[in-house]
Amino acid sequence: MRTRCIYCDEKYDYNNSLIDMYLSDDMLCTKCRSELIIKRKRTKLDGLKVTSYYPYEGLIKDLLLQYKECFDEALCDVFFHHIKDEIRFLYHGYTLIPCPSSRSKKERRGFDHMVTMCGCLKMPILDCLYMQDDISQVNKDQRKRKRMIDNIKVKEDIVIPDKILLVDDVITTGSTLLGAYKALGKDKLKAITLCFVNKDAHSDKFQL
Amino acid sequence: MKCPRCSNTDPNYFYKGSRGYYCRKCIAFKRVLIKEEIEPEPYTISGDGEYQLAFELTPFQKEVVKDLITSVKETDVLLYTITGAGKGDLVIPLISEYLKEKKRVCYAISRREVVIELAERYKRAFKGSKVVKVCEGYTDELYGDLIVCTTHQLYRYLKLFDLIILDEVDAFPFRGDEVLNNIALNALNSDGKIVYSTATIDEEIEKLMNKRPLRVLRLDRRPHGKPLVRPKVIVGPDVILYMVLVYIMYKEKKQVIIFVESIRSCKKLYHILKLFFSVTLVYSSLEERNINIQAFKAKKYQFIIATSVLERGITIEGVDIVIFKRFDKIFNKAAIIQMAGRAGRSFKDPYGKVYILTKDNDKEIKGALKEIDDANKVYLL
Repeated sequence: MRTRCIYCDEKYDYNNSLIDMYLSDDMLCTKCRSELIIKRKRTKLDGLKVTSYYPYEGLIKDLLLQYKECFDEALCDVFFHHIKDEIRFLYHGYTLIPCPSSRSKKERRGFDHMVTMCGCLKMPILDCLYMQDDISQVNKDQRKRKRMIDNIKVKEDIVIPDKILLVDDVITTGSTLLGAYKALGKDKLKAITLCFVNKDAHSDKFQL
Repeated sequence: MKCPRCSNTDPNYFYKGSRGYYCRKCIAFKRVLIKEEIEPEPYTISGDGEYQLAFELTPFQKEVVKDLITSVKETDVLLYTITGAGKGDLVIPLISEYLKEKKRVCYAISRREVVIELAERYKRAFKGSKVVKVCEGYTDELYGDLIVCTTHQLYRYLKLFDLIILDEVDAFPFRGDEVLNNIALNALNSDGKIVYSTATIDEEIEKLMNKRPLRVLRLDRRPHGKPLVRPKVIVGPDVILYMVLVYIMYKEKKQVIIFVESIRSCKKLYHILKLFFSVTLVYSSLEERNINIQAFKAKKYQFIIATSVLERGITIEGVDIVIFKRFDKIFNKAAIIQMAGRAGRSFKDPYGKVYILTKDNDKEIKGALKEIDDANKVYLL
């Protein structure tokens, strides 16, 4: 039984519920969790169906930044916690393929943030993609992000299953997902991302 | 286990990641591994450390400077002065001593705006040394002869400094923040010393004083020798307070800083008052905050509506102050003393006016008035 929220460090308010107290494995307190409001968005990228869950703003953005930029591995299970049952039900029998991040960042973090994040979904994970060149997407405009499409490759000697679910953290222009889609060369692919960038709120410059 | 950065020992805050245990108490400053060996950046002091002041220090200031330089050799120091006593200038001879001995010095303060202003002032004072400012928006260059930074940025400099001057330790967010306190202590090397400076002592500062041996140096006089301005308190309902505010603005010939408690009231008041007066605004998240402050200093506007961002460290010559206090908890005693201390700072205009417009003459206001009266007692002796 956890006593404090993993993010805000406040004491849990269990609302006098024994179920909450003993059965819930949510590491966020009710106040933080209530700030994460799911707004599903479905997009189609060259035939690839993508479902995104949260707008990239507010607490989910802060959590992702702390996880990715401050290397706070302890947060890995909070992101998919509320949607894991839905994902496991809708994509039963699928194998998760996390989108790759740049090699240098992976080395600095000491962990692959997407693979660790997907761990809580308890589905088979195949880490078979890599980036050929070390391109960071931070502060890149749309044109430069498009280079990512040709930059993602599949590791050699790996058998790719038929039912694949691509997973990424944030969809901005969709270039990483498209790159992975192209590299895998399979038709029956589906993709999910945790967040989507609300393009109306940004100009041509996106910041992750 | 102990965090090398924030000295946390509470096991609940340690998490075992793929690289080993790390501390989550100070995770906002990026992960630091417990087993990590932190080597300080081997930068050297290249400047000569010579300084030039635009004016001569008063005999009272010189006495404190002398005490400060001798005390720091033995122990940490708390420089307890009234607002506008010239703390920023008092430490210049001390910084110079350290730079001449090729030792590393840092001046840290909570407010970003003050960092920018002080760095410019020190650049003018230390012409032969490299002064670097490190705060939000200025993090490309991290090392120089003298580093002026926000208290948050001290996390970058573990075990590095021979001297840290921690200004306004009674200010948010440093006050009472154990993580920031420990980060500051861990930015010192093994022989390093800290000079704390503040205008108000409370229980949080007393806690600091109990951590390491500390000598308190007091200075109760402003350089121009005139007492602190005693605020005039006007109590009334909201409508009356707004009417009084408009009346003061109408009658006022000098520039005025109007302090309000929230960003919301700052914006609201600005939109109404800009229809009738030459007014600008400033709050922490405003992108043009530096432009607005510079425009006010250049006397392009007569009035500036500000939240607590202008509460400390800022010197604007010849201004009067209006403190618009509508709620109980936001402007505490220390904040009121600091805001009132923005008035009467210059030699040309040592007498300013300070008004507190409030719904309730509460203990914070009474406490602030008492402290100002106590500080002014030296002039009666």
